[in-house]
Formats: sequence, structure tokens, C-alpha cells
Amino acid sequence: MPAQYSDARSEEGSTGMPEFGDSIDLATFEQILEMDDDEDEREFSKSIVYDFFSQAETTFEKMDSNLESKDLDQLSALGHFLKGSSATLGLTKLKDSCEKIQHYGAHKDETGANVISDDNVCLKACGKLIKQAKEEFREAEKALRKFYHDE
Amino acid sequence: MSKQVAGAASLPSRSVGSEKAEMGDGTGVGSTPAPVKKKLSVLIVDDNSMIRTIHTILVNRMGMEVESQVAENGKVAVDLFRSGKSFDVVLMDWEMPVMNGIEATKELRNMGVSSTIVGVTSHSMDTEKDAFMAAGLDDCYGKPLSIKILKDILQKMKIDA
Repeated sequence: MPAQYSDARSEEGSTGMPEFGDSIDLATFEQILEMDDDEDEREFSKSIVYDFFSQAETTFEKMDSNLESKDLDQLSALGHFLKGSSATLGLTKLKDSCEKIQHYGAHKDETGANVISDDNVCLKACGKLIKQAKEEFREAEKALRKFYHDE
Repeated sequence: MSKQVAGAASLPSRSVGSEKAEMGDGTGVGSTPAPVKKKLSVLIVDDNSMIRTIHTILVNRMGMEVESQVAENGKVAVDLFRSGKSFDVVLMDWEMPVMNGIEATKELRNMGVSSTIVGVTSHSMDTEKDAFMAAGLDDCYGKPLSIKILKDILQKMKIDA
């Protein structure tokens, strides 16, 4: 973790090193920030993060649709997909929820270790987790938009 | 978690699918061979485009001559090797559609591919990573990789980054 936090910012750039609370793992996110050529503009990391925002919104829409149509296979695939991107950015809570969606979609419990044969149990769990994941995403999104001076 | 890479004491002498180093002029009595300049080839296998992008950038920033290629699932990776392509290092995701990382790693090893294959996974349980390692990996790390980890991978291959 950086020793100093700067509030200096460029007109369009980031607000210095972030304090994200527990919604984002700073050590992981910093690896993305290290790829920025310009620490004020942060063009690369911002493009990755904002692409993720779009990706997440689209994925949540698909999750809602597949929950409606009771397609557990698709829910599992969508959970897996968003889990990977979330993990890469350090969005640990969202990643954990997505992993659980992936497991329930595959007729497993939240740990992935035990089989659950009842579709309705799995669907109900997915429904709760999708709602939770959306809240976790919003929390992380708010913090990240603030970091990129886009509140 | 990690296991020794075969032939790691010197520049790797690879069998099927290996990239050969460019050799300088070592002919002639009393001549000193030019230093071997190795261009590192890396195959990034992941179904997530964001991760492919990030790992490609990380690989290209390692400060040595490197070429990278991406594959969106294990089958594409296996097909690349079958077509005669070769890579020094394969960064292999676990969960992918069509063919996952475990299946692809097993297939590559069955083909005789001796490239360094490093698992990259968001799975956190040691038992899960052990299963991935058992498929034939040289090592396994969590996502995302960092420059330090990539340099560690090369260090194990005894190639200066």
C-alpha cells in the first residue's frame, strides 16, 4: 500500500491513490494502474475499468433474462464470465458472488463442492446472488468513478 | 505448488513445438560464437478478452524481446501447436468453453509439448490448484499475473528478463 496519498489530479485524470474500503483489493487493482503510461491521465486503466462497467451491465441484463427463463447453464456461464473480469480488477466481493452464481448454475452449492439437484433451490439462490452482485458492483463502480473523477 | 522445470539449468532444450534460438556466426577456427539472443514466445490462453489484453501488455513490458499470441480456449491453443506453431511459455487459464485448461494441458503433454505451461486461475482452493498442476503444469498462479510473477516464471526457465 502506498505510503502517501495525493489529492493532486489532472483535469480529466484520477484522484491519486484510492481508498476503496473492502469493495476493491488495492494490491490487485494497483497492478492494473501500473500499466498506465501517465499517472495523471490513466488512459489505459480507465479504458479497462469502463469497459468492465459496460460488460457488467450487459451481463446483469443477461442474468435477469436467464433467471426469468430458468436457464441455469447460462447463469453459470455468465457467473464465470463476470467472475474473471472482477477478479482481474480486484473486485473481490463481486468476484465471490459471481463464483457462487457459477456454482449454483452448475447445480452445486456455493462452495462448488456439493451437488444440488433441485433446480428451484439453485434458481432461488441465483436470484438472491444476482441482486447481491448488483449491489456490490454499484458500490465498486461508485468508488472507481470517484477515483477517475467521474462522479 | 510449483515443480521443477525440466532442463532448467540452462537455456531450455525443447523437443516438439520448441522455438529455436537465433544463433550468431560460430563457424571458423578460433572464432567466438556471437551471444545467443533468444526471442521469447508466449501463448496467452483465456476466454476473457480483458485478461488476454492485460496479460499481453504485461508480457510485452517484460523488457526483453518477446512475441505473444492469444487463444480464446484450450482447443485453439492445442490446434496452434498441432499446426506447427511453437511457444516457450503458455499461460493457461483453467475454466474455458470448448476445452478447459486441464484438458488442454493434458492434450499438449500427450502430444510431447515441453513448453513451460503455467496455470493462471481465479480458483483459490489448494485442492483445485493441485488438480490443475496434476494435468502437467510447470506452475500455477492466481489471476491476474504481475510483472514480478512473469519474471519469476522466466527465472525458473533460467532466461534473463
